[in-house]
Amino acid sequence: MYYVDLLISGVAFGCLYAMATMGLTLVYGLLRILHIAHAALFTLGAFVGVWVFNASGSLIVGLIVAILAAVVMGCLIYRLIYESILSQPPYVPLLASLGVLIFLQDGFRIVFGEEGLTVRHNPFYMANFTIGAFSINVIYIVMAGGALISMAVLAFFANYSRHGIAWRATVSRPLLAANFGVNVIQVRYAAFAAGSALAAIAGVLVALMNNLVEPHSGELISYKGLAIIVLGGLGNMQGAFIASLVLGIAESFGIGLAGRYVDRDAIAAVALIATLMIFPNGIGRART
Amino acid sequence: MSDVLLRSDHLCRAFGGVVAVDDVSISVQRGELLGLIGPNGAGKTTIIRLLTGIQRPDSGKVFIGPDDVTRLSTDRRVRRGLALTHQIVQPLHGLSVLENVALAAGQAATRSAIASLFHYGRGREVDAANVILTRLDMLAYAGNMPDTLPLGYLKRLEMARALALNPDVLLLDEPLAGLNQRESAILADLIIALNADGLTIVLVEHNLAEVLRVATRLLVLDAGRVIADGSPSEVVRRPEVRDAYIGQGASNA
Amino acid sequence: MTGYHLSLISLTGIMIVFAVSLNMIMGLCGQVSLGHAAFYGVGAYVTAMMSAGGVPTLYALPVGMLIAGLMGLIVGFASLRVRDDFLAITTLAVGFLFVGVVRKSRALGGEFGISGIPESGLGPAGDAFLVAFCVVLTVALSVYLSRNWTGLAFRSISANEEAAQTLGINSAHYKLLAFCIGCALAGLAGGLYANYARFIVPGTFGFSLSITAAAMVVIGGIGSTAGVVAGAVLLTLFPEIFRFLGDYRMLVYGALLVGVMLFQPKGLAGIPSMVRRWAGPR
Repeated sequence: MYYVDLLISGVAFGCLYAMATMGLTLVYGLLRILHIAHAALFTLGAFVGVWVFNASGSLIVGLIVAILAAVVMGCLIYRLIYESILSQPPYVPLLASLGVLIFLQDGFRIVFGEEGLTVRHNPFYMANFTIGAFSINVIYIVMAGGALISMAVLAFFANYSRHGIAWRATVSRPLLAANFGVNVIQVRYAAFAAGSALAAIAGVLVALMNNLVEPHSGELISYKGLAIIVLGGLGNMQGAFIASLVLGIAESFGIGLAGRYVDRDAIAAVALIATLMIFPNGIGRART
Repeated sequence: MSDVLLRSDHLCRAFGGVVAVDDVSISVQRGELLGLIGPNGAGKTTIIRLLTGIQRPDSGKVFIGPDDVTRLSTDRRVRRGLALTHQIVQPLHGLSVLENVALAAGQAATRSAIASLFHYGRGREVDAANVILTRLDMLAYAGNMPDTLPLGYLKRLEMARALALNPDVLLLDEPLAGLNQRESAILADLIIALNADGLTIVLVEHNLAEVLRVATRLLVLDAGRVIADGSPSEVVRRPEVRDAYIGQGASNA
Repeated sequence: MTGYHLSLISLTGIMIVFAVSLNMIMGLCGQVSLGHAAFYGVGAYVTAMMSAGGVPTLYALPVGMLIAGLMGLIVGFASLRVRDDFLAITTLAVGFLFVGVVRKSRALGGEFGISGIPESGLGPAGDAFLVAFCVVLTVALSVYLSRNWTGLAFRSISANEEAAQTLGINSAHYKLLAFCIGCALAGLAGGLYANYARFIVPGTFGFSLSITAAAMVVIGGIGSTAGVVAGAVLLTLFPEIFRFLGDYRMLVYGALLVGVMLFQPKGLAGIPSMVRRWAGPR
């Protein structure tokens, strides 16, 4: 039973990582930027969502406003920061992105306070779902379900919509795509918007799980997100999804079995190093 | 009496099912200027990359003199007397032209990473680099950074670095590609002069007119195989060579 | 000069050693490292444990360097297998691994770290002199390395590893050397820090310190020893210089990082040539 619990929480966290970091994968695929400021969009979504939820009493309204706020901020980060430094060596956008993360996190602290916000009437708090001998946290189901639905929507768009096809064309052959009339700039905005929206949803879900959002909540996904895109293989969405699940399950079992010797982050680090030493170019490969 | 400086033994290499080099055994004799030609995709560049160790063969061996070097890395093969120029120029950005060439001339100083810690002076290597740059008519640009130079000079920089290694065998991968006619002729004359000084050269080249002018022996490749081997004037008269080129629809000759 | 000033100068010196050590790996040899704080931590913990065990600081410091250098060698082997962004992520993971292990290790004091590290016995002035001596040594080594044959080989690998190999450079050996020297000096900086702070906790050696070091290198000007020293001084004294900002310091720090990357990506080291271009004849 214990191992089943570990597996369930691992899958739930894996789905959450996938949703939270899909924006990183989209951005890395297009621009080869390690967009660590993405973690701040996750926190922004959580803060705005919880604040509006507390004020209005409607989770849906909170979620929508959170998504809007994150999308606007994500597109602003591209326009104001990344656009002008795309040609620089990769550590320049990385450090700029870190600067944005530090700036926004401190901004959250100033606006919302050091202690953050608590969810006032949390429908999922301590709620369990019981089948026979099993008892599962409802929030885990919501996390996994929310992630799978939103990823399915994204995958559908990527595979069948004009924007999605343009995105895939731009990832594999940027110059060629541009010559075939793909509006590369539009594709970039679409990627930032979609990724930021997913991060906002993930942020709200994590806030519901913890019943709390803090200025540093985003650190949960900041560096793991980088790990996932690299493991997933250069902007490959399926690869990133698999890497997220692997990471979530590895962490879950790692804590269950070796939690006395190392912490959650260190387990992820070991999984990461081991994977990279075996597959130096990541698990998946971008379609070309 | 000629002896073999570089030899390949039944080399094979495929890329994802496409056979690029198929059972190629060639030997490079001391003092010759061996031309390596063939239509696009014949496997010329792959052979150079297998000989220098940038890529590894699926099967087959590479010998430098009597020694099997198949398992040695590129830098170790270079230290055993190979030098190559890249088809697509690869200058070291952030190093001046002079430093690019001096680094190649400093084989003794960079042989061991730890020993290199104790090597400081560059006088001798800079002198050697200056001599080579003078010969290539590039001395005026010694202080320039590579990213300020046009392609013609970068091609010569490739050559200068390779010469600074003081090799036994010089492998040139399309040194004339992208140059105009006058530049090509000057560089081709230099290649002849170097060979006349006793340097053994393998020349991969698309510009058939220049190859036929400079080579002492010609190998023709098609679809990864050697289809002809002999003196330039004799080889180009063979029907299978003409077929290989016509089959490609190329008419560079 | 008050004790406070002396302590501030010591801390600045320690950070100079640390940032310059990272520059050897990242600036000279072109290998990105986002986990450099781990080696600083190794040096700090080794020195702290040995000092607490009664070994004089002056003997403990070189041991800390040695062990940090050996750890660097191990991570260096990883750099032979992965490159660029993959290397950045690998080193990042090494940083998290170090903190995660130390945090849970009872022998190393766990979350509470090691306190009551005994004094070196050199006195405040002696300690400051020790730091100054290490700064001079590190900076001199960095300048020497950027001009000698090792540095030339490092720079060739940084520019284009494959091309460097075709010039007979054994890039694997040089990369290992860079990691070894850089991490050993980071260990030295960490040892000096343990001796300076006399109290260390695992949280100090985490991701944010690694990032701070990378920011010092890049804001100073990657590859330039003088620039990196300036970057280290600027960022270490940042809280002092911007004391008047009070509660908004981190906000301004983030904005500064973004601003430098946007408008002066070559860092402080790029400023002289920029000024020359403006002032010079057109």
